[in-house]
Amino acid sequence: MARAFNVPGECLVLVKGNVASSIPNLSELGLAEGPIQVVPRYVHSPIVLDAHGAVPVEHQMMLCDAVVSMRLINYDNTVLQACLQEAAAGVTAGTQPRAGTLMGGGVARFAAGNHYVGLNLTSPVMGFPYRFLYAMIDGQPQFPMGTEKSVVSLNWIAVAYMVDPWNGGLGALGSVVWDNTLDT
Amino acid sequence: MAVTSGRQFVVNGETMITAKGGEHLSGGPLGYLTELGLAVDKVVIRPRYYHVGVQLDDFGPEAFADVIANLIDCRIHATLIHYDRKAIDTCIAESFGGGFLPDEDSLGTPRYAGIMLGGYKDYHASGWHFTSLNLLSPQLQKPYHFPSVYLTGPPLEIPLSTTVTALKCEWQAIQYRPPPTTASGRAPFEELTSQNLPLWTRTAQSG
Repeated sequence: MARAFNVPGECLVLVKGNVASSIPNLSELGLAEGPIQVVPRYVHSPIVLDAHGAVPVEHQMMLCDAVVSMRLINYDNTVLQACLQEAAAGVTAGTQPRAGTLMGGGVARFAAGNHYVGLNLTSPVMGFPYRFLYAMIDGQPQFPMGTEKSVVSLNWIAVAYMVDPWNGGLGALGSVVWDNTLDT
Repeated sequence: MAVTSGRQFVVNGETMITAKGGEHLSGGPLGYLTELGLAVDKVVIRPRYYHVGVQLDDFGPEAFADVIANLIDCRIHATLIHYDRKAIDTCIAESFGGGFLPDEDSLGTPRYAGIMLGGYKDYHASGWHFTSLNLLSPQLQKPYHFPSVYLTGPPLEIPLSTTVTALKCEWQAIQYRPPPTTASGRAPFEELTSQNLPLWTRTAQSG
């Protein structure tokens, strides 16, 4: 493939939750004020040998997750509230779930009880969208209140959830943090 | 002459723990080869070697002239975080001589003091209260199989809270001697010997 300037294009954020959520179908969340940042986090464990001093001689790949940051300026507040609800393990935004509720709930993607959300970022120009299969709003979203248009700051974390982490002896092999096919 | 070496980084892989108990558990967990669970961190095996020094006056009062090897036992430590609750309850019950099965609520009730876990019964026979334990090795392909273990403590810690319960378990493995049998199937009187008893093997149980 030849070098080129890569322009993803107008990135629309689409989300989809479990069948019992307020967003059981693929829904438009919104458009961002600026670039949406996709930040994969690769975790490598260094292996240090005394014979090699303090510098790692080898690394073990200990999987990855991803952080997706966006500042939404043209968004559907109902869909946003639904995402916040799922981030709170299915209870209405602003109320508390039981402490310790499992986000995946031990069930498959989009099954009732799985509160991870499918986070989709379109890429109409480059044709290289992102789909994070198991994402949730994390940390401290910000909702400015005032007479100016509201630009909502969201940070999502995406993980490779598995119903059975043993996976028939394969462990995390094959689990998906993201791919490049949008949900339907 | 060139020196050859088989050195490598050793990665055991995702270590699933499986277990199987006596025939009296048939129809429930540990009545068949059961997946106990996955650990939050390393599963640690600690063999304990027992040695007695042989002293001779010629060698002085401290140094040994020879050493007698008096077998070994082994501790296996794992903090389980994704596990079968009923299987673990059954392990706990078997470790104190068996609970009242199939009453799940009575798995916390020992029958009486003085029960022998092996009771001179064969591996996995009805009334044999040891458990076999397997530590799988999907990457290195060198699992551990302990034919006779029992859950012991401390530490056996069962934290209760809103966070996921990570069960701190410790098993003791011994070289249990099952009875030899005659052609008639009846065990003859025979002195227990320690010869050729596996504490562990490197082939996982398959059933």
